[in-house]
Amino acid sequence: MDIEVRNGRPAPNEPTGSLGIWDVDRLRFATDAAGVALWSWNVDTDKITLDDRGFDLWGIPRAPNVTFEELSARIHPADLDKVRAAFAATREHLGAYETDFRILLGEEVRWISARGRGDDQGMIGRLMYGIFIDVSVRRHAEEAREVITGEMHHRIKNLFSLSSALAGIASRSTTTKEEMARDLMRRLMALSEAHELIRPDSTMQSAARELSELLTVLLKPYLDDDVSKNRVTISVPRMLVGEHSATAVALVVHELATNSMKYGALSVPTGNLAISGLDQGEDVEINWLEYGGPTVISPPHVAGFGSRLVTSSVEGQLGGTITVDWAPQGIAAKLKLNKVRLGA
Amino acid sequence: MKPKILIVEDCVLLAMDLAELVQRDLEAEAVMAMNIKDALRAANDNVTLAFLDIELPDGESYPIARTLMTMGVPFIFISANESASLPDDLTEVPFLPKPVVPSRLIGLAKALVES
Repeated sequence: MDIEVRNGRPAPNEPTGSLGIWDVDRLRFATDAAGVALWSWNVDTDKITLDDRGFDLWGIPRAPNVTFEELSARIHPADLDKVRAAFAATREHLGAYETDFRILLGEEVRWISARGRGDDQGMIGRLMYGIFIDVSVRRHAEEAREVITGEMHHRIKNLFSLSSALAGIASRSTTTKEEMARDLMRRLMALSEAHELIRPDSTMQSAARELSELLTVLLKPYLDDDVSKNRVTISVPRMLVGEHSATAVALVVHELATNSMKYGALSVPTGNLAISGLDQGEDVEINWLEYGGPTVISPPHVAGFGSRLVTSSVEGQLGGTITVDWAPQGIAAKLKLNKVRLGA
Repeated sequence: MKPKILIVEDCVLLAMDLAELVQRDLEAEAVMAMNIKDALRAANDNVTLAFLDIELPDGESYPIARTLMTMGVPFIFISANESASLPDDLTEVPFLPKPVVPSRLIGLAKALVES
């Protein structure tokens, strides 16, 4: 009964049983829906026959048949040897094969997957059969992922460089191992917080953030949940801080806050810190003003690592200037930053 | 007179770490530059040796490398980039991958200054 149905080709509108559904027309619907192009290959003459979709996929004019050499003119030069070798080995290949390669259609790079069976399996007469399918979307996604992986790798290497530099710096600027660990950890935490804010998205694009938001996160340990009790006030003009600058800003704010905790207003519960900003067109001026704290005595190591780091970060990385005044009534720092550089 | 070592590095922390090594272990003066423009200017000021990061905000540091070569000033590339990607005329330049092992940098720097 089944055999009769298969050979008898029932009319397309009245399929009977699972086998009857797969007549030529219906198969065509399925391959079209799937974007599959069909090919056959004469193993003696090397003539290749393509269906319409196949010609469209390769971007070549319709012809009764084509040769491998005609097709290879379209193949990406970097993939040609690979495809040639795969094609030559097809018949010796055991079982199903799948070869992905690029073809060039003007500016467009299209990824094609050639699939079939080797070892003369399924050969009818002297003809072997298989399909081409456009796998550009998947391949381009994979390429994008490779770029991102490379970028990730680069960033991780940078992070290790930074960490080891911080370890070296901490070891030279401290005397006990406890001091060194604290010094190293707090700087790593500052960088981690900055990263958290500027965290890149899945395409490795980092979002620029508001300066006020960055400052709030960096000074969070000193902020009270109850706004009315806050010892720290932040009031700066709306302004974006880019990925590169965020690290420098984090280090600077962190060093100033650490100073304040050791010698300034943040060392006592009554002390206050006000951060304000002034938009000056191309530049922004940020004022760090401490008050209500203990009488400030300029520490002996005022030209120590922390303050050199602040100066270098502001001048080198942010292209700005900073002055820190260790006034007895409270530390006052004045930063002048270029808005364009800050956004980078 | 103290030798003068040019440090070309756009990351402040890395630059300062290198500067400390230069001052402490090589007893040299450290000059820092964070971009090509500043580095080219600094290179003309009696530099004994230079450390060059490759990727800088205004491009790759190869123009600095070529200037130093013409001047006969030895230098070391310090980068997270693979040394394999260096242009043909710069493949002979000593290369240290990041993170830098301080003892290796100091050893190499001493050897270059003495030769």
